[in-house]
Amino acid sequence: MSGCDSNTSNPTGGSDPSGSTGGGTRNCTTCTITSQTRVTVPADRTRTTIGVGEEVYLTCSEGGVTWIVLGEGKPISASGGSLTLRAGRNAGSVTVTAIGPGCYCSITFTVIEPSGLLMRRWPGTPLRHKHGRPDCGILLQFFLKPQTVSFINCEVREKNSRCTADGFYLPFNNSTHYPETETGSRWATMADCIPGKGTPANMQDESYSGDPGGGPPWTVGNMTFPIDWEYRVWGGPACALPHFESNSTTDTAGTCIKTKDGAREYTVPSDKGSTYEGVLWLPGIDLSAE
Amino acid sequence: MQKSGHFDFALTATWYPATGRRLSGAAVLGLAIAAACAGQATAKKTYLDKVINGKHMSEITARAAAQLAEFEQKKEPFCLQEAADLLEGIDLAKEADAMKRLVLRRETLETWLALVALIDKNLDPNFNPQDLPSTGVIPPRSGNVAYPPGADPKLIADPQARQQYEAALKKNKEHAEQYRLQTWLKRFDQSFSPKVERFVRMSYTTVPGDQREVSETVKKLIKNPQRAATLTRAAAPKQ
Repeated sequence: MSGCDSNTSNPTGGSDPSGSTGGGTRNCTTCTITSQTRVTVPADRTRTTIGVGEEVYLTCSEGGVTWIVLGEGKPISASGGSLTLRAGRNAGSVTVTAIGPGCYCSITFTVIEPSGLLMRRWPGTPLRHKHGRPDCGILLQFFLKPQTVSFINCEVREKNSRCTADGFYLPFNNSTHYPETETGSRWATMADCIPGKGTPANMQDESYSGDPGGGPPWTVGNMTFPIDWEYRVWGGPACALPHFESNSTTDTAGTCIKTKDGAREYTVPSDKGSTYEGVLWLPGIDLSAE
Repeated sequence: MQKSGHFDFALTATWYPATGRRLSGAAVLGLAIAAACAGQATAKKTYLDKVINGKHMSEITARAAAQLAEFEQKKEPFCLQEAADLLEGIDLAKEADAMKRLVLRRETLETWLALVALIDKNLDPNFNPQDLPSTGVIPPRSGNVAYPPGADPKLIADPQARQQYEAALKKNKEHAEQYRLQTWLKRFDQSFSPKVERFVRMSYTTVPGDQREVSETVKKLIKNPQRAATLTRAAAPKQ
């Protein structure tokens, strides 16, 4: 709980600066604002650091107050002693003040943007590999960081890009990550925050080396796609996320190493063939498992 | 943002020629077909269409209705959010003129109900949130060659593999768009439904005129029986 008469550093309060006594209504001497995030994860719903676009329910101990919202947020609905606040699209702070007949109280929220992203192999999924070939693929899950807030009202997409490839992968040099006419993936919605990871996208990312054919013997090869993701808040303008690379390498033994952000896996040609192709629904997989 | 426009519901009444001359059989037939088509077009206009595309006295409900019309056209879910934000911002008590307040209340009710009716209309009961779309699609292996995901279809020499890949790309794109739409619709349904019920509860009294306005508007706009019952109950006198 936060409020003007509590000991927390955020809320402030005191007498009504307008000097209004509310004409005929009972005067108040103090008031308190309590806040609760709309999402239930992260578990601390009284937190005053919130993600861009996040919504918070505010209640003032005094009913019939006038609400004033200043900064990076806007009121969605106000009724008597309650207000729904929506954080803005940019980082900053937003102060909400409730003015009653003879008193006022405030609460300030810090609004944060995604600080980065995290890509992890989808728990429980096989690698993609053809027995006898130097290829390797990972099914990835995408998260917006940090995990301390929710970015459920954001959407994300991966932009198209062009690779540089040499050696074994030379036939793929300059090929695109999406068809030439596409600017990137579709926008994906976000799901509830997963503690320890962040806010996951409702989208699977298939990262696969490909296989230009030929061999054995194999030559050393390297292929790198520049990777740029974007996020947007409540359908607003696209904002860039930190740049990284997706890399595939092979050696003369046909060991294929695939990396994308923090995810890294490898196969050797003798590995049993496996695929996740067509496995769009992964029943029984605990998405929160490490 | 779209501007709302006035739909002419009396379209068919003005289409008859006033020449006074005898018309040929073909001309009569043509006129009959034209009149019948125009009649059909008018008949197809539902009350939902009227609320979305019709004239509003209130500027705010007109803007909200324009967002709903845009949603119908583009299936962009954030249009619904924009409309809801506008409707939530309406404060009936701030309208000093009693007659204007009644009109504003009716238009707000109609627009809220149109919004949830659109959610009901577009929600897919078979939507499976676990059936996630993918960013890209891996082209089918053709001989010994397997392109990385998202490769341009033109690169695939085998026509059958290329066709298969193009179909998979199209399917994934549609799936991603549908998944996004359904996710937002589901969230909006959970978020907006209590707001509409609250509006009905707080804005309408138990007097018969108020009760009638709610029940008739619900009847005209809400096809979902469960939602219709909940909304009618919200306005009903408390036992």
